[in-house]
Amino acid sequence: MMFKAQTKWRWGVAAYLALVALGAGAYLVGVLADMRGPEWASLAKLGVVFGFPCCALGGLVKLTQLGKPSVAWRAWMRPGTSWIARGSLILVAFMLVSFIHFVLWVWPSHVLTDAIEARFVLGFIGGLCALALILYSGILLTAARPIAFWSTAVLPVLFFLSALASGTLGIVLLGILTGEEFSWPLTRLMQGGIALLVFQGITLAIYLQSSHRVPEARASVSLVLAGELAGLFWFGVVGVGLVLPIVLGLVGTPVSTAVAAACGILGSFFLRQVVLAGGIHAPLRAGSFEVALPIV
Amino acid sequence: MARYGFVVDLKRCYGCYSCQVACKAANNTPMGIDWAWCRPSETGKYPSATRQMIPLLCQQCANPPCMEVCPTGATTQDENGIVHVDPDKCMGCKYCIMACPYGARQTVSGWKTYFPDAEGDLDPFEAYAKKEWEKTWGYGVATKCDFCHDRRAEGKLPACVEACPAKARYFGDLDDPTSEVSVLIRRERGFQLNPELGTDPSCYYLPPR
Amino acid sequence: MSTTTTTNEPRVKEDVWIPTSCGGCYAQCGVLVHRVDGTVVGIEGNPDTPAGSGRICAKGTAQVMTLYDRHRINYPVKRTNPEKGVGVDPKWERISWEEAMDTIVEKLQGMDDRRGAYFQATTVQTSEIRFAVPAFMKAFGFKNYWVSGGGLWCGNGAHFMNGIMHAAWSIIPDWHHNNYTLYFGCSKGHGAGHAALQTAQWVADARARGMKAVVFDPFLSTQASKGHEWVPIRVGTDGAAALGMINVILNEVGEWDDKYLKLRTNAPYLIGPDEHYVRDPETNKPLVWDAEEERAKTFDDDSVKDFALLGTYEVNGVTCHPSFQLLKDHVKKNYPLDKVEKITSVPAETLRQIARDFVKHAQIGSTIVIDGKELPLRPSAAIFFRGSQGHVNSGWNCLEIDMLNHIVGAADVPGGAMGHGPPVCHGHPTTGKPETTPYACPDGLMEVKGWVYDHKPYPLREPKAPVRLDLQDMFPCSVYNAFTICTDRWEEYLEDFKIPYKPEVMINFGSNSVMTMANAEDVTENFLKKFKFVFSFNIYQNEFTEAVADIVLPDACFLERYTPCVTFPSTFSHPTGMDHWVWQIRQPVVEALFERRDFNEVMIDLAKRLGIQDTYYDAINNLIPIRYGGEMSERYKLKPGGEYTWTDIVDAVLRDRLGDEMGLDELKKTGLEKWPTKVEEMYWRWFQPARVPIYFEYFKEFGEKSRKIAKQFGHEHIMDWSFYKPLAEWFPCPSHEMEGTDFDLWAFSWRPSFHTQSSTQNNPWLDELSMQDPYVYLMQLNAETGRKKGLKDKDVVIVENSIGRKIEGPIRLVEGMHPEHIGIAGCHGHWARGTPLSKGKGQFYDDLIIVDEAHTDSLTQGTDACVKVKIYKKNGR
Repeated sequence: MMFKAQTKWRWGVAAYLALVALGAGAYLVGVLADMRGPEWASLAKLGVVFGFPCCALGGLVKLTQLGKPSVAWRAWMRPGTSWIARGSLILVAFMLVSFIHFVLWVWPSHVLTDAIEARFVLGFIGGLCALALILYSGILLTAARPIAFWSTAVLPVLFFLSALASGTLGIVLLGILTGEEFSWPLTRLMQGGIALLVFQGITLAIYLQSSHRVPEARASVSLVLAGELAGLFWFGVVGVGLVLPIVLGLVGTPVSTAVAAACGILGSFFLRQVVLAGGIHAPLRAGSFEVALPIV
Repeated sequence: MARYGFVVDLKRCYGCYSCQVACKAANNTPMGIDWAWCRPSETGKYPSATRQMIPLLCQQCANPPCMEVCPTGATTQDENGIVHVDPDKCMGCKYCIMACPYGARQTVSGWKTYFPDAEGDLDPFEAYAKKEWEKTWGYGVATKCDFCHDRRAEGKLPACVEACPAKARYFGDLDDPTSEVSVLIRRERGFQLNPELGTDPSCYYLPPR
Repeated sequence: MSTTTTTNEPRVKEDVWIPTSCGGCYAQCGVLVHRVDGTVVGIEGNPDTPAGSGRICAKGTAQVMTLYDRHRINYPVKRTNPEKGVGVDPKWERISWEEAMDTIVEKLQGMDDRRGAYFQATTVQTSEIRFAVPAFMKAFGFKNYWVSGGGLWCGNGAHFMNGIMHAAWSIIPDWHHNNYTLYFGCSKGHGAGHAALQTAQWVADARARGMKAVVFDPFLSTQASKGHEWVPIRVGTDGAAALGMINVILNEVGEWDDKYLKLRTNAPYLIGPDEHYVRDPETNKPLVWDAEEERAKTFDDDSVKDFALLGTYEVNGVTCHPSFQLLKDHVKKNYPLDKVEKITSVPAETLRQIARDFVKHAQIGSTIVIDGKELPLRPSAAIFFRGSQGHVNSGWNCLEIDMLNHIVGAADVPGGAMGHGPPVCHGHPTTGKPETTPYACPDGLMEVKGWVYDHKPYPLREPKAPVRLDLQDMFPCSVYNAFTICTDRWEEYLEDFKIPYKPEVMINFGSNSVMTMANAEDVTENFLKKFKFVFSFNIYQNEFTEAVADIVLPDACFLERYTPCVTFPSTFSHPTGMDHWVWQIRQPVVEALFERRDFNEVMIDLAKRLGIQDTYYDAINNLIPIRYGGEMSERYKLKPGGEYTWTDIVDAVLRDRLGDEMGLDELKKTGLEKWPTKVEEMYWRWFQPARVPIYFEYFKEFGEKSRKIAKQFGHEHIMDWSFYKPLAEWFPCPSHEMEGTDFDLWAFSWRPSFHTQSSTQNNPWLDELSMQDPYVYLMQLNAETGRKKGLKDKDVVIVENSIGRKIEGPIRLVEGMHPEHIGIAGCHGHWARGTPLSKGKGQFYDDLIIVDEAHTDSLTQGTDACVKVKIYKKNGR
């Protein structure tokens, strides 16, 4: 029985998912931070900064992945059943809210700086959208039932943790770049980021461990751990995405923290690529005979 | 209205690929694209091993996951249970390809000639096939078998059914208990592929022996 | 083709279906070709014809890609590189038809001896070469030919034995009634070979109603995978398995078809101590023993009440036995099951059980009424083909398997093994043509009137001092042989046998003999390069043209030309059982594109330019009655001085065979003429008085004659004359005598049903299938054997035979393979520049074939295609 992974959703879709996760994750972390107190406001602002551009860029990347981008406007015609339609609506809603948030708080207007209640309301709405967006990016894959590697409840959790982690690290990175490196909220945030990475690592282990019930998921796991994707997985996801940021993050210098954050963000991209490229359809079974699908 | 279905008799099928090529010819599918295809399979250990060809095509599921995941409304199911793609509405997100358990859907990014080493223009047949393909489908969208909708409109059977030398393929109405397909499924213990996915395919297979 | 347009511009809106005949393989199924605005856009089965019964296979559908293949030859070309050989770039240069024809005429006229011309063709074109090309041979004055496919793929053993036993080309079970079939190395009914599509349907029907197939094959072939039981067997040992089973039937079960053996075989003929028939001194007729009157009588004496099959008798002062007794004793003594198990690797118990089942299913004594005629019903059959015949034991292997059928009376009766194409045809209702029928010779054995093949059932061809380049005329049973022409001893043979001329000009019709006779190097260096001038009709350049052709002419493919009949002689496409005879023509569906021309037209042109057209016409007039059974009426004979085109000839043949009104214009409308078969034609055995041998009394004598000639020319040991014996024997191949050497695997080739010999691999649709299929471009090896050798799936290995010839390719580890074998799909691994799609894909099995006297069947001169090999990983062991 020769299993072959799907070939249609690869780097481009991974980039889209990673960008959306980064944008929505950073935004969500930002508004949550904002609600903790005024000393977090400057970092929260950075989170809001991420929201719209990341998602817009992600959306553009996604457009390039479409076979026929000219009808991309139809993407939300069937939200009743389709997670892409739902996701497209959520994405648009989030982009709208995060854009308003940005325009009124960061640039060009600063009206929300003092209108704290309004900011919280907007942040609450935007945060819900971001949360939905993050959940969507995992459920999207879960809905592809014949692909056992995707069709698991652990995957949305993994993607959720990864989104929060990459969002957190995004804020940290941007914070260091904009001269926030010595603020204690940033240090605290980085600690939070490291904790999220640790949780993500544990969840990843659980995810891979739980993907052994059916042969095609086992094939996915061996593809990831020892097959074609092993290099990307061990080097990219584990090395660059988890070990390096945790170690460098613990070192704690501004440069090491910045590098750690960048690595963590890159890792979330690699993670999505590994998950996508490891997607294998279930074989078709006719009595004792099993056949793999043609290349899909 | 009918529920059109298909029966593949594995006992009769000996794996000649005639259906696959007949489908290609009838639907002018480009290089690498087959809406009907065959997968050889081996099971058991020497000397009691056995082999069987499994011919595949769109299973025209009663609960088509491809339609469920389609965001654009390009995928529809007609009153006879056949799942169609409207190439004008499809944006080519390929979600349906991920969701289809049967590998029934394929996309084409552009026409590739079968004679890559040849110089000059396409030959008359490929030029015709390309023109027909572009007229019906174009590029970037999901494409699939529709049980030869156009042939049936002319009163013919699907191309793969007509070609099959072993008469291992049957097309008919599953809702009519007296139809050939219904009788075969009932009498010969017809089964669906991967029924656990809840798709309720309209294609049934009869056991190899 | 009044509306034919060959450009892409839709001048006339046109959408038509044209009935014609497929040429994708030799089964020649009826097809409908869909043409839209002058372009062929599809090929489908023609439901009106029994030849294919409206179905179409992958090869057939894919022929549209051959018609328009952009690598086809469109203009005559000549070789500018004087070097010839395997893999050489001929450096083609385009020339005009005029220049090509002038050169060819000049070369033919300048020959030292016209007998040195040689004609080579392919079985895929059989219907076209049936009379027009042999007529040219006759008119020009040469007798040398080779039909590729014939020599190695099927050829000598199988057709020879089918001729003797069934007056036919081949045998297939009567699937309409058969319940139990033994397959030996053949895929009949599984999409390949003769009447491929009808039989596929019948087998499927039979399987659906419970027919059991037991398949002897070294690998889990298509038929084995569809069968009731797969019996893995060593290659080339089929005959031994059959003899073992005959032993079980005759000496353990003790059941046989008494009546059949007594009345339709020479089983009761008395055999004297000299191994010959005991003959009546007066009439010279063979004698039998009437058990009731306890005295000898001639075999055809109506007063014989009970033919003795067993016993020992004294007649005319000699001790004699019915030949059946000799057979029974022979298999008992020489083929006990323990010995057979050692030869074949099939457990004795398995063979015993299969033999018992075979007899049981034959239902000896049962009858069936068809069309009001009561006939024996014998629903058991044993069939064979290439797998059994591609060995040193070619002829005997086939015969031993078929003898199972004759022992239970399952020959050309409902349910049994049927001669195919059917050897009895009463002809079209209007004309009585084509007509062919078997009859009894003075010894009672079967001869055939209107016999169309080169394998005449009886008597054997009289061995003569050879005049042919392959010495074929000195052997009584052979049609083709490669061991003379393809070895470096050829010139020695020609000299020693005093052949008074040399090979000079070869005319080739599509054959790719470099890939289909033996290994490429021997064929090219020893044989093809000996011709001073080679011209070839081809649709593609191939390994042959690139190796040796001096001029290549762009042939029309089957969709661009006329053929008067593709279904007679009924060798390849006719059904058995109660159906229809069909006379099917081929007509062009588009005008030949570019400068392509139908070779038939070119040959007429050539005959005219050579000034031999009248003798050519005369030869056609003489050949048509032979090929299409029945004299030609004066009205349609070609007249000397006539200016005939190919369509004129086609029209004359049609009117002569089918009636005055049935000319080409008429036939073009439907593409065919059909009429019902009769029970006397299809189940003919008991309607004809002829007997067939189970004891080959005459072999020895013919072998002696042949040996005498060989001795006379100093080559007494050219063959092993012990093969010429009256009782069936299993002779081992050289590969069976290599135990304990490094060469621990048998290599064999098999054919995917979607390829035709060497001619389809470059068809892009079929190449696409080959690439998808797990077995076509990879060599199959038993998984356990692979593991023991430290090999993994897809490892690239070298396969090396005992004389150091190698092929290489990736392996596929499988369960469906005898552990001592490696199975290689043939005929792949092309290297011609003209067919880039098939270049370097798959393996060229025939390169492993060793061709010499030892690897030749001494009886039929067939080539032994099995070899012992060793395999090892490509980069070091």
